[in-house]
Amino acid sequence: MANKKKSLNSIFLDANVIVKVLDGFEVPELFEFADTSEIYTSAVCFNIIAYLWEIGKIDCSKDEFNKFFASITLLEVGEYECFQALEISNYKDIEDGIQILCAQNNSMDMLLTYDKKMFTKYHNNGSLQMILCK
Amino acid sequence: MLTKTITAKALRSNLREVIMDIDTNNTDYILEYVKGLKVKISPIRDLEKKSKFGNYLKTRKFKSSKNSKNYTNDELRKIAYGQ
Repeated sequence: MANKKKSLNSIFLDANVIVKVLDGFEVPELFEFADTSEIYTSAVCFNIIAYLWEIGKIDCSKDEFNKFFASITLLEVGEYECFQALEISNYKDIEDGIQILCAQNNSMDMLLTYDKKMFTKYHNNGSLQMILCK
Repeated sequence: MLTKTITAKALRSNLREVIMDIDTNNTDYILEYVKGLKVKISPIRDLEKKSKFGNYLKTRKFKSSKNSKNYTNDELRKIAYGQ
């Protein structure tokens, strides 16, 4: 049997995980997969993180901020994700629904989050594996 | 009809599901599905990019996350939007 080349995992990071990394804290669930994965987040996550950083709520230098975002890929959020999010979220925590759809539509293997409510609501939704960081 | 933007990779796996879902060669069904899609190419699986992330983690010193705050998305929004 021929050896099949193992493809890299695609990991989508929720905003709360990125805040933790930028603040300089370990995220063991992410670090475990780092060498075998490509890391992604959405433009919507970037939006909130950039604002939190700008108002001084995230403790990292401009250099660290740039280095982090240069090492991951930002995924677009469009009309489909926005309108479908209304439905799958049942009009509650719509932004969480947008993240889930963005990850699913870009064929992510995993989504990492610290948000228990989001995890509980969506962890059985489709093929996307969700990991609740501790 | 709402246009769905989908990556080429996701289209491939979704089409497989669509085709497995029907038991005839109903190409109209497949065409109808594809017609509503805008296909975009997935970001290139860039090994250098992956190693950049690995390097980022290796070059930065991290503190133990024990006793650090785990934000929920609601909390982040409250901080950002001041609600």
